[in-house]
Amino acid sequence: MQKRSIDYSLLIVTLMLVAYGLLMVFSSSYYMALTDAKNYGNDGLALFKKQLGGAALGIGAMILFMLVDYKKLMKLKYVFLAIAIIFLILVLTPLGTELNGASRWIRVFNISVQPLEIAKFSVVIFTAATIYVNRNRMDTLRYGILPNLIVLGVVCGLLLLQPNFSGVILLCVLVFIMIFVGGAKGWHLGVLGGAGGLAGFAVMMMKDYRIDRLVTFTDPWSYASDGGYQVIQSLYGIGAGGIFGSGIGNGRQKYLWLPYGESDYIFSITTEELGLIGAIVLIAMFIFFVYRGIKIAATAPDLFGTMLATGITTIVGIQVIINIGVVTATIPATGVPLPFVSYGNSSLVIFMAMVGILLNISRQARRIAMPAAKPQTQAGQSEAVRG
Amino acid sequence: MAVNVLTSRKRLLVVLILLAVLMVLLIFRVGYWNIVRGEDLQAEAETQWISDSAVAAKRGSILDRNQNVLAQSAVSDTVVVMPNKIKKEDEQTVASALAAVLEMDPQAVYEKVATKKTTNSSGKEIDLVEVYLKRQISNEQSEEITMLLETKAITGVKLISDVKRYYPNKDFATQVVGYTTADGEGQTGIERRYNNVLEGRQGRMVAETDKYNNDIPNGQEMFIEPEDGNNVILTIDDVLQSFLETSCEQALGELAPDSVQGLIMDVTTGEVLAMANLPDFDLNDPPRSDGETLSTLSANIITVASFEPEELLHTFVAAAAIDTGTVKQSYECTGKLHVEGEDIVCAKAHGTQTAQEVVQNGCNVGASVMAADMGKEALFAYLKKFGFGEKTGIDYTTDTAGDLMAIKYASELDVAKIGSGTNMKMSLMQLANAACAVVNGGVLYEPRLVYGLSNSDGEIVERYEAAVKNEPVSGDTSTRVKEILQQNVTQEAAMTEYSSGAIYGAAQKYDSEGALVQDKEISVFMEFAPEGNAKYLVLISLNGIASGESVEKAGAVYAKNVLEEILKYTYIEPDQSGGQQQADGEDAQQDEGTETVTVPNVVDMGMQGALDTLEQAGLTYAKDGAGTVEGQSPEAGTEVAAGTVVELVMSHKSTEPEPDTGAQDNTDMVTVPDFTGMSFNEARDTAIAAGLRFYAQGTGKATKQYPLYGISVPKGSAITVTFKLVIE
Repeated sequence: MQKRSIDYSLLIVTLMLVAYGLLMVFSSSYYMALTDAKNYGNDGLALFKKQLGGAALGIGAMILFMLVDYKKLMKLKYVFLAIAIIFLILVLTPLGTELNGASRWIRVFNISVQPLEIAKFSVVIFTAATIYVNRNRMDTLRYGILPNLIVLGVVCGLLLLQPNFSGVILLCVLVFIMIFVGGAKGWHLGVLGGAGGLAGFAVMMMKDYRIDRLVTFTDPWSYASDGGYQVIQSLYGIGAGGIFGSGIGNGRQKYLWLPYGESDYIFSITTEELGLIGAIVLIAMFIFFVYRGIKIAATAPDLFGTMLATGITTIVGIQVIINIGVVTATIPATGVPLPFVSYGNSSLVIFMAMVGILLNISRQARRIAMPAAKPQTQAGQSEAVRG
Repeated sequence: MAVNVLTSRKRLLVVLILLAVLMVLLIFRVGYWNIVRGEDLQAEAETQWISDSAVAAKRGSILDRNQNVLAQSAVSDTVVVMPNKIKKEDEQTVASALAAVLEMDPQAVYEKVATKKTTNSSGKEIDLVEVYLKRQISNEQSEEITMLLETKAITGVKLISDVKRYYPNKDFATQVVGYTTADGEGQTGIERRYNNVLEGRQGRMVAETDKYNNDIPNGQEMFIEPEDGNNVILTIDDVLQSFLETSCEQALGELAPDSVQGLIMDVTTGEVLAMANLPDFDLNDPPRSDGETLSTLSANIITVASFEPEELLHTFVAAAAIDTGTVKQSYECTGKLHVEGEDIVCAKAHGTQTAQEVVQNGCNVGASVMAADMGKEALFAYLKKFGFGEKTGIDYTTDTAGDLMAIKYASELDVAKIGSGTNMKMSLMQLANAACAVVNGGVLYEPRLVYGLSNSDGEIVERYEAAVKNEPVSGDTSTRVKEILQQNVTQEAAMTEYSSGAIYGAAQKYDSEGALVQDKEISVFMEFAPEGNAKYLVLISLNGIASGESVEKAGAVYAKNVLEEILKYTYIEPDQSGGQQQADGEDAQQDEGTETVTVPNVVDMGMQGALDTLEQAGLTYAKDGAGTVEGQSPEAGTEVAAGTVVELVMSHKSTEPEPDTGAQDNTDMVTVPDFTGMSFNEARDTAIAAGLRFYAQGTGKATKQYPLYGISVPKGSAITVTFKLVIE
C-alpha cells in the first residue's frame, strides 16, 4: 500500500470551522461573560480564552492521531471502551456536575470533561473494530449485529441514567449507519431500523405539542419552563439577521436574550450576525467535510479504516443536522453542540482528534478504480495538488 | 472482502447523499425563517430589545401664600423581593431580617419571599420575578437594607427608586391640601383638583437593553426629558391657618360637637386665607384601610355640605329689604305668622321690633314679613345675587350649589319660609362668601383657594386675580347692615382694640338619611373686622353641638380669638381705643409720586403681606427665600427714594425645603458645588462632602442642579441633581 499525503482540503475545512467557531464564541459570549461575576468573574474573554485553549489542545490531539497509524487503535478498542464506561459511571457519582437536572459533566484535574464525547469516540472505534473482525460474517445476526448492540446497550443504559436522551439517539443512529455500511443484511437492518424508528417516533410524538407551541409564538414567557423560550429566541436571531446579517459583533440576541448563544444556539447568533449567507457558508463547509470524510471511508486501505471514517463522518453529520434542526425549530429541543463551532472543550478536542484519525486514514488511501466517477476525479485532483 | 468493499461503497454513497440532502434541506429551513418569516421575527425581536420606559416628572409642590411647603415630593425607596433568587434555606433569614427593618409581620414577609410562582389571568403558571414588599420606606430603613445587602446578610432583595409625597405639617389644612395615591395621583382636595398642573408631563427613555433591562454597549438611546409639574400656591396663609386650627381644636375639645369647621376670608378679595375641618388626619398616613372613615374625614364640609340656614339668612333678607327700600320702621311678632294654612314659628313672641332687632333676635316672623314685603321677585333676585342656589366657583374639588327652588314654583308660603331661612339650603362657603359681600361694600367675589402657579424654578407663571361675580347691594346698604351687625357683637365676641360685626345662628341638624337629629344643632358664628373698613371674616361652625341656651353664640369666643390674632399679626391698626383710622400703608400711598418715601416695617410679616406693603409704599424688593420676613434693609422709618430696593431676609431660604424636618441651622452655611458633568457616584460623594443632602433624578451625567452652584445654603440642605444619559 502506497503512502500518500494527508487530505489537505479536510484539514483546511476543519481549521476553517474551528476558526469560524472561535470568532462566533468570542462574539456571542463576550457580553454574557462580562456581566457574569459568579462564573466568569466579569471577564468578557473568559469563554473565548478557554475555547482558544481547547483549540490548541485539539490541534495537538489532531496531530497525535494523524501521526499514529489508525490500525493500532483496533488493539486499544477495549481500553477506550473501558475509559468511556468509567467516565460514564463516574459522572453519576458526586464527582459529576449537575446542570438543569442532568449530570453531564465531570471535573478531572480542574478540566470539565463530558463523558458523552469520550463515549462517541470509543463507540466509533469499538464498533469499527468489531465490524472489521466480523467482516466475513456481517450477514449473521450473532456476529454482524449482536456484539455492537450489546456494547451500545451498555453505553446507552449509562447515558439514560444521567439522563441524556439526545446522546442515546446520537449513538443509536451512529451505530446503525456503521452496521449498514459494514454490510449487515438488509432485513436485519430493516427490523433494527424499524424498531428504533418506532421508539424514536413515539418519543417525537410525545413531545409533538411543543413544536406546535413553538411556532405559534403566542406567549413565549408562558413556555419558558418548556424550553420554548430558547427556541423562540433562536428564531428571533435567525429572523433578525436577514440575508447579510447585522455584522459580527452587532447582534442583539447575545445580550442575554438567547441562553446558550455561545454553545448549543451558536448557529442562531451566527445567522443573526452573518446573515443567511453566513449560515449557508457554514452548512456548505459541513457538507464539504462530510463529502471528504465519506471519500476517505471509500478509499480507506481496509474495512477498519472505512468503518472508522464512516463513524467519524457520520457523527459530525448527525450532530450538525440535529443542532441546526433544533435551532430552526425543526425538531424538538435537545442539547447537541455544533461540531467545531459550539463552545465546549470536550467536544472540540474529541472532534479534532477524530479528524486526526481521518487524516491518518486519508494518508494511507488506496488508489483503486472507483465505481463512481466523481470520487475518482477528486482523487485525481488530490494527486495534482500533491504533485 | 471484495464483495464487502463494494457493498460498503454503495452504502457509503447512500449515507453521503442522505447527510448532504438533509443539510441542504436545513438551508431551506433557515431560509424560511430568515426570509419568509424574517420581517415578523425581526419586528418581534426588536420589541424585546428596546425598552421604552416612562421617566417620571417631579410632582409640583403645594405652597401656602408665603411659599411655605404644604406638600412636596421627595425620593424614597421601594423594597422589591425577587423570590426566585432566594434559596429555600435562606427564606426564613431574609424574611425575618426584612420584617424587623420594615416593621412588618414576619409571616406576611415570609409568604412573599417563599411564593415563587403565581397563576396569571389566563390560568398559566408563571414565575414571580419581582414582588413589591413595601413602598416608600424611610431613609433610615433604606440605609439598613442597603447595609444588609452589602454585607450579604440577605439576598434576592433590591431597592428601587420611588417618589413619596411628604406633608411637612402633617394634619394641616388636611381637606384643602388633600392626598395622593401611592403612585402620586391626586385623590382629594387641591392634590386632585390641580392634579394635571402638579403632575407635569412624563418623559420617556427608549434604549436598547439586555434581557435584564441594562443598557447595552453602543446601543441606541433616546431620552425625552420629563416636564416637572408646576407648584400650586394657595391663598392659604399657614400662620392664619394655624391660628384657626388651634381655635377649632379648642372648640372641638371643649364643646364636643361632631365636627368643627373654620374659615378665614379676605373680604376684600374673596381669598380663602384659612380653611379647617376637624377632626382630621395626618396626610402622610391617611387611614386607607378604613374607607368610610377616610371619606368622612377627607370631606370638606365647608364646600360639600349644605343645610337650612334659618336665622343665619335673616341678615341677607334684611340687607335686601334695606337695599330695595322696603324696610319698615317696625315689625310685629306674636310668636307665629299664619301663611296659606301653615305657621311660621318663632321661639317666643318678640313683640315690636326694628329691623335691627329682627336680625338680632333671629325672629322668623319678622324675616318672613320682610321677604313678603319686598315681593317674590326681589327676594329671589337678591338671593341669587348673593350667590345662593349656585356654585360659588371656588377652585376646589367640591363646590355645592345648595338648594333654592325655581321662582315659578314658589308660593306665598315658600316666600315666607325662605325669608325665615328654611326651604332652601346653602353651604358654609356660600354663607361666608355672601357675608363678605355684605360687609365689603356690596361686592360678591368668586372665593379662591389658589393664589397662582409657579414653575419648578419657583417663578410665578400664573397669578389668579380677584374676580367679581356680582354686586348684590349698594355701599350704603352695606354700611347700614354693618351697623346692625356691630350690635350683634356681644360680650363673648367683643375685642378691646378693634371694632367688629357678627352674624350668627343655629340651625337644625339632619343626618345623612335626612332625619332630624334631636338635641343637636349646627351653630355658626361669623365675625368680621375692622367694622368700618372690613378686611377679615372668620367663620366657626360647630356641627352637631348639643342644643341649649345661647347655642347660636357658642362659637363666638373662638371666632373672636382667631380674629384678634389675625389683626395683630397683620398689623391692622387698632380702631377702637386710639381712634387712629388710617393704616401705615395708606400714609405711604399718599406719599406716592413724591421723590422720597418712608420705608414701612415689614419684619415679622408673611412674605406676601410684606411684598404688598412694600409695593404700596412705592418700593421694590429683593428676597432670599420665602416664609416670614426676619430682617429688612433699609430699616423701617428710613426716608428713601421711591423705587428703592428693600432687601428682605426671609425665614426659609431659597433651597429645597426639608420634607421631614422644618428646622434648619442657619449659622452653618456651605457653598453649593458645581455638579455639571459628574457621574452619579461622583455627584453623590461631592454632595455628601459638602454637607448637602443628595437627591438624584435620572441616570447618566449630571446636567442640571438645584440650587445652582456658588449659592450659599445652610448645611444639610437638599441638592437635587438631574442626570441625563449623554450619547457620545
